[in-house]
Amino acid sequence: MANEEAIIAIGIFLITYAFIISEKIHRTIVAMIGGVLMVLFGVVDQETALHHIDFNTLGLLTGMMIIVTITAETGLFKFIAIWAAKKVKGHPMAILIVLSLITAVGSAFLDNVTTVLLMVPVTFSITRRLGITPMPFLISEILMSNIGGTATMIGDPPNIMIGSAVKELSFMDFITNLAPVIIITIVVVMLVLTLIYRKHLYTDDKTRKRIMDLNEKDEITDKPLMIKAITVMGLTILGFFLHQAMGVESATIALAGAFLLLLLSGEHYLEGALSKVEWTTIFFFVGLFVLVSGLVETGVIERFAVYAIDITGGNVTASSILILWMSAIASAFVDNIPYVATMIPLVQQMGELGINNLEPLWWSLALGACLGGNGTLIGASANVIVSGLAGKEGYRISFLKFMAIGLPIMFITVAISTVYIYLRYLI
Amino acid sequence: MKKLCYEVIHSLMTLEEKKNNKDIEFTIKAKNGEAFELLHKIRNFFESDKIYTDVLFYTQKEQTYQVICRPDSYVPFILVLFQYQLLERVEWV
Repeated sequence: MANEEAIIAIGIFLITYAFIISEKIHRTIVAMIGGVLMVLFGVVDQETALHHIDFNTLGLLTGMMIIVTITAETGLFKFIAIWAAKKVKGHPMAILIVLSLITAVGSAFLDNVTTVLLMVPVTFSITRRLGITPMPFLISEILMSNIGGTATMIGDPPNIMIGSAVKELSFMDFITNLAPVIIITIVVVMLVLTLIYRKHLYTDDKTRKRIMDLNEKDEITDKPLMIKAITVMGLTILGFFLHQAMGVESATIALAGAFLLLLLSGEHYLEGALSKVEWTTIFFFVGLFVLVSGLVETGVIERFAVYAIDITGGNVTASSILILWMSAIASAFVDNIPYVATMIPLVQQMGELGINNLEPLWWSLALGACLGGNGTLIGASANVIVSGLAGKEGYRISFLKFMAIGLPIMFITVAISTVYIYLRYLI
Repeated sequence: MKKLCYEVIHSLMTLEEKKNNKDIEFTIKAKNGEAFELLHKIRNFFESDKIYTDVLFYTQKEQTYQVICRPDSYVPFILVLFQYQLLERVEWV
C-alpha cells in the first residue's frame, strides 16, 4: 500500500510539474489541483496537508507585498533612480551601473518582480530622454534582480523558503554567508555587461544635460506617506536582523510592518494594498507545499536522498557542488519555486541520513536556484515580466537573444559561487 | 490626410511642439498653479495606463514639463489636453 501511495504521489507530482513547465495552464491552478489530488487520492489527509503548508513563507511574502505596494505609490523609487542618474551627470554607462545597482539592492530587500516593475518605467523614461536604446538597461536589470535577490533571506522566494524551513538560519546568516559572494558577482557581471554594451551607451553633452534638467523632487507624490513608508520599511528590516534574538518568525516581522504601515497610512489604503498582494503566487505556494507533502509522507523524498548520498558517497563537497550546479541548470529552465520546494525536504533528509554539515548544502541550493534564474528568459519571474513589458513597448527580448547573454552570465556567477562555497565551507 | 490643429488657452500655458526623430516633443510651461495641477493630472493619467512609452513626462524647473510623445499617441495626448480644458480648440484641417 505504501508503495502504491508513493507511485500515485510521484505520478501526481510529475504530471503537475509537466503542466507547470508547459505553461499551458496558469501555474497556480495546476499546483492547487495537484495539491488537491494528493488529498483526494488519499496520499495525505487534509490535516497533514495543512501541516505541511509553510505559513511563515506565506506571511512573509504577504507582509512585504503590502509594504512595497504602499511605498511604490509614493514615487520613492522614481525619485531615487532620477536622483542617481543626475549624480552621475547623465553618462549612459554610469546610469546603466547605478540603475543596475539600485535594482540589485532593491531586489535584496523587496520581491524581484516588484523591483523590476518599479525600475522598468523609469528606465524607459531615462533612456528615451537620452535617446538611447533601453535594451542593455533592461537586460542588466533582469540579471541584477536575480543576483541581488540572492543576497538576503527575503530577496528571492527560494531563500524565503529555505530561511523558513531551516530555523537555525537567521536573516543575518543569509547576509553574512551570501552577500559577500553576491557583491563579488555583481562587480564581475557589471564589468562583463559594460564591456558588452559599451558601444551602445554613448550620447553627447547636450543630451546629457536633458537628464540634469530633470526635477526628481516632482516624482514624490505623497511626502508624508513616503516618510512613514521609509520608517516602517527600516523598522521591518531591523526586525529581520533581530528576529532570531527576539524569538519571533520573519513572517511576524513582515506582517507587523505591513499592518503598522496600514495603521499609519489610514484605512483607505487597506483595500488597495490587499488587492495588490499577488494572491496567485501565495496560492501557488500553498499548492506546492501540499504537492511536496505527498512525496515526503510516502517516503519518496527519503529514497531520493538515499540515492543522492549513494552518488556522492555522503561527501559534503561533492553533495554541495552537485546541488549548486544541478539547481542552477534546473532553475534556468523550470520555475525555481517548485524545485526548491522539492529540494528542501531532500536536503533535510540527507542530514538525517548522516551528512552532518548541511550549511554548505543550503547555501549551494540558494545560490544555484537564484542565480540559475538568469540562464534563460523563462528562468525567473522577473525575466518573464520585463521581457513582456519590453515587448509591449516595441523592444522585443527574444529567448535566444537573452540566452546569449544570460547563460554565460549564469555560468560565470555559478562558477564564482563554486569557488566561494569550496573555499569558505569545504576546505 | 488631414492634420490635427489645436490652439492653447494662452492664459494657462505656453506650448512648443517639435519633431525629434520619430517622436514629437512638447515643452509646456504652466502659467499658474491651476494649469500646473491639470498637467499633473494628465501625467498621472498617462502613467497609470499599462503602456510606459506612449507619452513620457519630464518635470523641469519653473512649472515646465517636457513631454515626449510616440507618433501613435500624438492624437490621444492632444485630446487629453483638450479634455482637461488646456486647449481652446482642436480640429482636423
